[in-house]
Amino acid sequence: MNLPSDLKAKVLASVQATPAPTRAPWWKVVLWIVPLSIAVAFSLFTAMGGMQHGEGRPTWMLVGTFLGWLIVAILATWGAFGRGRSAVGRARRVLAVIALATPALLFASTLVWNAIYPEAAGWWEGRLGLKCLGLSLAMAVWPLVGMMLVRKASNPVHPGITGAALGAASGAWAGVVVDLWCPVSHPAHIALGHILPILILAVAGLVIGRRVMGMRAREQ
Amino acid sequence: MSRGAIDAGARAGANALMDRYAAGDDSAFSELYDYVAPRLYAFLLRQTRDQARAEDLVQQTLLQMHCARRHFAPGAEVIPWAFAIARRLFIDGIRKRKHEVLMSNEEEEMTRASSIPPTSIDLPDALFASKQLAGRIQRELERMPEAQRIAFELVRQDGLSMAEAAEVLGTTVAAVKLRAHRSYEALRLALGDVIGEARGGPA
Repeated sequence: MNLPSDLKAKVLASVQATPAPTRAPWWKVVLWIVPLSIAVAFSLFTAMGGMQHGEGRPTWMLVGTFLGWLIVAILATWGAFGRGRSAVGRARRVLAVIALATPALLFASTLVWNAIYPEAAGWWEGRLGLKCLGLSLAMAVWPLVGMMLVRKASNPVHPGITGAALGAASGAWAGVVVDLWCPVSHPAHIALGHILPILILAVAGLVIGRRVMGMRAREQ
Repeated sequence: MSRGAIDAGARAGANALMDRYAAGDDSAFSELYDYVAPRLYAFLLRQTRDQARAEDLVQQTLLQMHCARRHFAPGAEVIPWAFAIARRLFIDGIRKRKHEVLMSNEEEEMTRASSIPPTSIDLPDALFASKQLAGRIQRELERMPEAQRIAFELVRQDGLSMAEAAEVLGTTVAAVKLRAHRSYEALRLALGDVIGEARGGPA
């Protein structure tokens, strides 16, 4: 099963004719995503009233939910964006778990905090959570787009589910900030305003990820 | 040891070559080609059963590896990555050319059946028998679900470890083990008479 002798020459010629960037240090790769995402989130956060808007909840509940969202966001990003020592990426099942467990864990943690501080869960007053939903999406889209562009045309195996996991991670990051801003802890509000955007972003990531991060044959 | 077992030293060397190439050492590509291309070709030839398509896919795969070199993680394995890219391009090719779907099992069996007898006349018995056995194994593999067949081929014919095959298929090691095991069982069941003869020894 010998390779044709002229194939190597053809491959080397096509490679030489196609410029391809070399590997950069990881901190250079993410250098522009983090400041951009933080700048957008901070601008929106301050424009909408900042921490003062979120006053009303018990301090420990505020600290607890903030830390909960932060830890989940870090873990989800590590799982979705990191690839370990593989060039291919994490297994499909792992990525699916990240995409689904992120919103589930965050919602469960809210229920736990509501059980500890039942008085906080009552501050519903008909606030559906549409502002929180919009704010979450507006904040999350930047890290999501940034991470996808960094991973552009890099995933030969499962770009869609990787996109879904990245979407969930981005939604969790936005949720960290929105949680500081929003004083409402009613489960229905949390589900619509804080968890639904994560699911929307996961679905968007699934669809966009296939297109952006997938590998396709190049015209020669 | 599997037929296509890859030497660990050569494998580490190839990983180091890809590492160098990803970091910008263009001279590493030629050596990398020598290591990766024959393995890709064998894998793709088995998938396509078409030399020209296999060559084209090897070329495309290596071009993709070149274009995506910045994504190659330091210390990662190059072979699973290359195979994963090759498989993706192969699948995309099938989707693009639906009218060129691989021949159905029945048609292929007929083609093979008609092609074997003329060549068999001149072959010594043992060689003829081994060719027939290889043909039967191939036909049994083609009857298997794609997920099982590809897991079997990657592990037994391309010499990848279970973990590497899992990377190529984007699944877990446990899932590859299960698929490979099922394919062994299916083969054993289908080729029971041959295995029985082999155990009984030559007449």
